[in-house]
Amino acid sequence: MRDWKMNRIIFATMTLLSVFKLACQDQPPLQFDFRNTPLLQAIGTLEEQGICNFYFQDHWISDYTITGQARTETLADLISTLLSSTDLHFVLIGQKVILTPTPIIQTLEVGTDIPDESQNPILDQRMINRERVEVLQIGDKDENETVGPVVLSGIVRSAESNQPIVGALVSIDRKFSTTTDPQGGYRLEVPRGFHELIVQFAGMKLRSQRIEILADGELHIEMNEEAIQLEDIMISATEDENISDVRMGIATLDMEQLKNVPKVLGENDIVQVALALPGVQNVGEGASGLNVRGGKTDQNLMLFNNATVYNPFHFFGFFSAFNADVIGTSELYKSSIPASYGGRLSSLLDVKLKKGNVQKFSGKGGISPVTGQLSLEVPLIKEKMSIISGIRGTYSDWLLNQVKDETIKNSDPSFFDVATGIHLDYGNGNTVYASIYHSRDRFKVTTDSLYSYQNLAASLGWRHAISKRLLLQTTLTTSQYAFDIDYDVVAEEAFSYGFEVKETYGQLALNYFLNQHELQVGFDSKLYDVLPGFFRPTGGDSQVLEEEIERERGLESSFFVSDDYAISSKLTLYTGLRFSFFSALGGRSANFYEPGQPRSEDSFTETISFPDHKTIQKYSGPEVRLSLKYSTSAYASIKASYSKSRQYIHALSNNVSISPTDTWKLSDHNFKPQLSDQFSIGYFQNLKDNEIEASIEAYYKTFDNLLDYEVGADLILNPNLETDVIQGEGFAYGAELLIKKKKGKLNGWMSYTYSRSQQSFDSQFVEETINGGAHFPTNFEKPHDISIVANYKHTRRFSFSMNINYSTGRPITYPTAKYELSGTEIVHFSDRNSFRLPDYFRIDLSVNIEGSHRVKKLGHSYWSFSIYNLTARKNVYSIFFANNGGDIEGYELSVLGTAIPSITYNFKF
Amino acid sequence: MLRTKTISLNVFQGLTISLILLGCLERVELNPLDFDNLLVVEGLITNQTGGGMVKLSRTFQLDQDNPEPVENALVWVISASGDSINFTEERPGQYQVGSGFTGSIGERYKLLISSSEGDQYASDWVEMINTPPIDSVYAFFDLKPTTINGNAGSFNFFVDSRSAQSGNQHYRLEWTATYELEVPNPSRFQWLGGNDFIAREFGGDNPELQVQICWQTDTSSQILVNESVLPAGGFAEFPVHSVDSESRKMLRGYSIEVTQYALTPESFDYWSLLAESTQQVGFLFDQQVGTVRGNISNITNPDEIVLGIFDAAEKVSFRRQYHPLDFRDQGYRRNGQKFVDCADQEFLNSAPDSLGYFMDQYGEEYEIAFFSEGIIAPPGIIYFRKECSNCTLYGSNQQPGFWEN
Repeated sequence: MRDWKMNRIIFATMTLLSVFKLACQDQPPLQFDFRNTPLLQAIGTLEEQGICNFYFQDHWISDYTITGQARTETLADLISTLLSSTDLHFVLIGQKVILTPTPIIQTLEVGTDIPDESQNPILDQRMINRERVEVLQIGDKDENETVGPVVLSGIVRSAESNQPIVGALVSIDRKFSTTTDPQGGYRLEVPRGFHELIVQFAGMKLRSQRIEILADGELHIEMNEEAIQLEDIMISATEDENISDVRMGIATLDMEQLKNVPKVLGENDIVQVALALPGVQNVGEGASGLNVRGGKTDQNLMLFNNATVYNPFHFFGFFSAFNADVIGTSELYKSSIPASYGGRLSSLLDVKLKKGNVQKFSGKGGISPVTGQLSLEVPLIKEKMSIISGIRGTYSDWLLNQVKDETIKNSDPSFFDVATGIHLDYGNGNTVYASIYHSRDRFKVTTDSLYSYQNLAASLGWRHAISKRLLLQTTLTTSQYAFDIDYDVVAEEAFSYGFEVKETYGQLALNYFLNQHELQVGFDSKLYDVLPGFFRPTGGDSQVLEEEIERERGLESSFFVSDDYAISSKLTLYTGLRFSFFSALGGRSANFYEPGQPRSEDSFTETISFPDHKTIQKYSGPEVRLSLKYSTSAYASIKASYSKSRQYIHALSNNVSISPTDTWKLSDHNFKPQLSDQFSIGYFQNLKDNEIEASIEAYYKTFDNLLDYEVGADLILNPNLETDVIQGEGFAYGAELLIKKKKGKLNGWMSYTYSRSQQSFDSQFVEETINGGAHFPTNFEKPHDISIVANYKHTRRFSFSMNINYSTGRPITYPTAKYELSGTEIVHFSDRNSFRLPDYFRIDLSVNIEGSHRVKKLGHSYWSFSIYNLTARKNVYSIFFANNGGDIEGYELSVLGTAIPSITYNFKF
Repeated sequence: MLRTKTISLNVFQGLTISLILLGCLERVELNPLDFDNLLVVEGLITNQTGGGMVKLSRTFQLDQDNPEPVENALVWVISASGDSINFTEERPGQYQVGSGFTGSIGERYKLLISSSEGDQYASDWVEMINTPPIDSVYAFFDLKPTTINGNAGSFNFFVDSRSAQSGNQHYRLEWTATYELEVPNPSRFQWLGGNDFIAREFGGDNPELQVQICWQTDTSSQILVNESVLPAGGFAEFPVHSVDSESRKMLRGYSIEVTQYALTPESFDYWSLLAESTQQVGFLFDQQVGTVRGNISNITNPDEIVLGIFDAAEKVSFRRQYHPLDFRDQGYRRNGQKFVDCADQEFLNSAPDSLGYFMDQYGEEYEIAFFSEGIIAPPGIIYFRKECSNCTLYGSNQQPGFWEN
C-alpha cells in the first residue's frame, strides 16, 4: 500500500494532487508519542490513526528513527515536530503530506493576470491531466512472450504547439534514461512491470506517468510549457539531464532563452546566445564566425536540417542568418560529437527547422529596427502533415540613411532569409520531411559595384521504424554558398568576380535498441564541387580578360558505428567510430613540386591533367568518439570524452575573421586534411534539487595541418595557391565553468572560460616559418572570458534581462618600427600576435513586456526594449595603421562603440 | 597572365571604407613597444644617364619622425657582363651613381653594400626591364559643392598606358606635381638690414627677388602599383592623384609629371604588399600583417632582416600642365579665391628712416609692401604678414624650366 502511494504521488504533478480530495480526518487533538520508532513505522501509525496520508520514497526515510512526542493544533505543526530531527522537508496539501529530501518544494504564486477560472482552459487541462494519472497499460497482455525486457517508444511533444520536443530526457524509474531524437522520438528497453516514466525538458513542466508495461509498446507524451502554472507545486526531483547524459560539452540553445538575451539592433540571434556560453568566442563585435574551444572559424559544422550552411551570417556577421522564429532546436556540440557527424574539427551547430503545427493554422511575426519577419504554420493533414515557412528581411535601410556620409547612404544593404519545411508523420514514429533554406546579402560598394553572397540548403529526410527495435534514418541534402562582386565603375574594366561551393550529401543510418544498448550503424557520403574563383568581363565595353580557376571536386565518405551503453544505472559509455575517406577527384590539372623543397616557382616540376573521376589524392583515417559518464551521486557525475576528427575542406582566409572574399579549398596532394584530437573531462553537479546546474569542464586539443599563409599570400584567383599556403600544428586547452539557475524569478547563468590556443609553423625554410617556428597565440585567443546572463521575471508580463561580458583582448600584430621608402612611411611588423588589444567589456539590458496570457486571446505579443552596450564603451575591435600624407598614423576601431537602443515587437497567433 | 587583383582590392577598399564609417574610428598615438633596428635599402637604377640612386637608412621608432641615414657605406652595382659601377654619397645616406653610368635594358645587375661596420649586403640579380610608355595623363573636375563653397570639388588625375609590350605587365608609378601660386599682397621691397632695402623687380634683371608668384612641388606619398588589365596589356583610367579644390592649388596652373617603372612580378608583389600594409583600412576583415622582405640580404648573416628592394627598370615619364580654365566646362570656378586669405593692410605711420628699427622688431613676421610718401596716405610703411606677401614661404620663386607660360 505504501509503495503504491509513493509511486502515485511523488511523480504526479501537483495539479493532480489538488484535484484528488482524499479523505483524511481532521479532528484534533493531533498527537504522537514515539520512542526509537523507525520513521516508516511512525508514519504508518499516523496514517492508521487517519490523521493524514504521507507520500514519499522509501530510501528517503529509511535512515531515520523518531523519538519524541507532540500534541498540536495543526497538522503542519505536528509534521514539523515529527520531522524536526530529520533532514526531510514537507508540503501539506489538505491532509496530504508530501515528504522530500531537499527543500525544493515551493508554492508558486498565482499569476497576476490569470482571468477568472470559469474561462480558463487551464482548468480543462487539469482535468485532462487527471485522467492521465491512471496507470497506463502498455502492450498487449496476450502476447506470447512474457519474460525479458521490452521496448517502450514514443514521441514527446509540446501540448501547446504539438511540436516534437528534441532532447527531452525520458527516464524509467530513474534507472533507464534516454533523450529524444530530432523527431522527438525516444526508445527505452525496460523490464516488464510497473514503472514510473518521467519526462523533462527545460522550459516544460515535468511530466510523470505511472505505467505498467506488458509488452513492447508506444506511449506518446505531451508536455506543457512551464509558463502556464496555477498553484502548481513543482517537484523537480529528476531534472538532471546535464548530469545524467553521457554526452558533454553540449549546449542547447533554447529558443525561449533568446527572448531573455538582450539583442543587437533588436534581432533575436542564436549566435549571441552561443557567444554567452563558455568555450564559444569570436574575434569581436560584428565578426563572422565562432571560435569554439580554440578552433578556427572554418572548423564548425553548421547544419540547417542536416544541410551545411557555409556562411550563416548576415551583413558580414552582425546577425546570424537563422530566423529564430522557425528554428525548432539548436544544439552546439563542443565535444562528444556523435559518430554520425564529421568533417569539421571543432564543433557542430545543429539547427533544426521547427515542424509546422499539425493542429491549427498559426503564425509568428515581428518587427525590429533592422528587419521584419513573418512565419506561418499550416496543417495540411490534421495531426499528420504540416508546412512551415518563415521569411525575414531588411524592410528599410533607414538606419544607414541616418548616416551623413554619402557612401553609406548609397550602400543600400539588403538581406533576407527564407526557410520552408514540410513534415509528414504517418504513424509509429515514421516521418518524412523536406526543407529548403536560402539567405542572401547585398551591399553596394559604390553606386556602380555590388557585393553579394548567398546560401542555399535543401534537405530531405525519412525516418522509418522497421520494427520496434530497429529504426532507419535517411537524409539527403544539398548546399550551395557563393559570393559575387560586380564592378563597373570603369566600363573598360567592368567585371564580375566570384566563388562558389556546392555539396551534395546523403546519409543512411540504422538505430538498434538492444537491452541497455543503443546501437547505430550507417554511412554517409558527400560530394563537393568548388569553383575557386572566376573573373569575367561584364557589359559590352569591358576589356578585361576572362579568368577562371579550375573547378575542384572531392568525395568524402564515412562509415560509422556507435553504441550508447548504459552499463549500470551509474555508468554509461558511448563508443563511436567513424572511418572517413576522402578523394580529391580529377577533371582538373594539378601542380607538382620537388619534394623536400618549399613550394614555389623554383621547385615547380610539372602540371598533370587528371581526367574526370580519376583520383588525384586519397586520404582516410579513423575518427574515434568516446564518452563516459559515471554518476557519483544522484546529483553529480563525472564525465570524460575523447574525440578525433578529420577535416577535408578548408577556408582560405588571410584575415583575422571571416571576410567577404574567403573561399574554401578541398584537400588534395598539396593540402593535407586538418586533424584534431580532443580530450575532455568534466564534473557536473546539480544543486538545490536540480534547480541549479554547475559544471566544470577541462579540455586539451591538438591540431595538425592547420592552414596559414605566407605574408602577402595572394588568395584571389591564384592557380598556384599551394605556393602561398603553409600548414602547421597547434594546440588548445582550457577550462569552462558554468553555473546555471534554471528556475525562479531570477534565473540565468554565469560562465567563465579560461582558454589558450596556440599554433606553430616551423620549417627549415624561412618562407614557411612564422615567428621563427615558435608557438604563438591565434588571432582569437582570449584567455579569460566571463559571461553573465540574468533574467528577472518581475511579473508574468514584465521581465528584465541583463547580459555582461568581459574578455581579455585578442592578440594583434603590432608594429615594431617605421621606415621610409619611396618617400613614404611604412610600418614594420615582426612577430605575429605578440601584443593584445585592450580588454573587452559590455553590458546589455532589456525589458520584455508580454501581452496578456489568456489562452483564448486571439494573438499573443510582446515588446522588447533593449540597450546594447549600455556603458557605451568603445571596445577596440582592431588597431591598424594607415599612411596619411606620407606619415603613418594609428587608428583604433570600435565597431559598436556606443549604446544602441532598440525596440522589437513580436506577435504570434 | 593578366591579373585583376588590384581592381578587386580597390573595390574592397571601397567596401571597407564604407563599413568603417559605421563604426567608430579614433586616431591613437603609436606606442613604441619593442623596437627592431634594421637596415633599409631603396635602390633603383634606370636606363637614363646617371640614373641610379641608393638610399640607405635605418628603421626608426614609432613615435619618431625621421629615419637615421646610414652614412659612409660603400655602395656599388655589378653587372652580369662584369662591370662594376660605384656610387658616391652625395647627401647623408643617399648614394648616387656616376654620370657615366647608363643602364642597359636586358642586362642583369646586383647591388652590393658594405657598411661602415663591415657588414656585407647584396641584392638578388635583377634584370633591367623595359617600361611601356604612358599614353596620356588627364584630369577631370568632380564638382562636390559644400555649404561653404558651391564650386568645391576635386581634380582627379588619371593615367592611360595602353601599349604595354609583352613581358612586363606590372608597374610602379610616381608623380611630381608643380603648381603656381600667387600671394595676394606681394612685397615690393626687400629689406637688407638697417635702413637699406631693395626694390623687388618683376620681369627685370632680378627675377629671383620677386616674391609674388612661386612654384611649389608635391610628390606622391603613396606607393602606386598597377598591373595590366587590358587584353592587349596596359591599363586605362588608373587614378593616380587627386587634388581638392580647397587646397587652392589650381588657381594659376598645375603641372603634373607621372613616372612609370616596370616591375618584375617579384618586385610587384613586394611593392603591392607594402602598399596594402600601409594604405589598407582595417575593419572586420583586416589583412594579416607581417614582415615584408625584399630582395636584399646580409651575405654573412642570412637571418638578419633587411628591408627594402633593389629595382632596375626603364624610366618613362609624361608631363601635362593644366590651367584652371581647362576645367571651366566641368563646372570649376575660382570665384576670386586667393591662395591665402589675408586681413586688411597694416600701416605704420612713421618716417622711412625708422624702417631699420621697425624691421628689427618685426622683420620675422612682416614684409614691406610699399612705402607711402604722404600723397595717398600719410607717410609711412604699408606692410603685410609674410604669409600674405612672400610666396617663398610656400615654394620657389624661380620658374621651373618645364613651366609653360
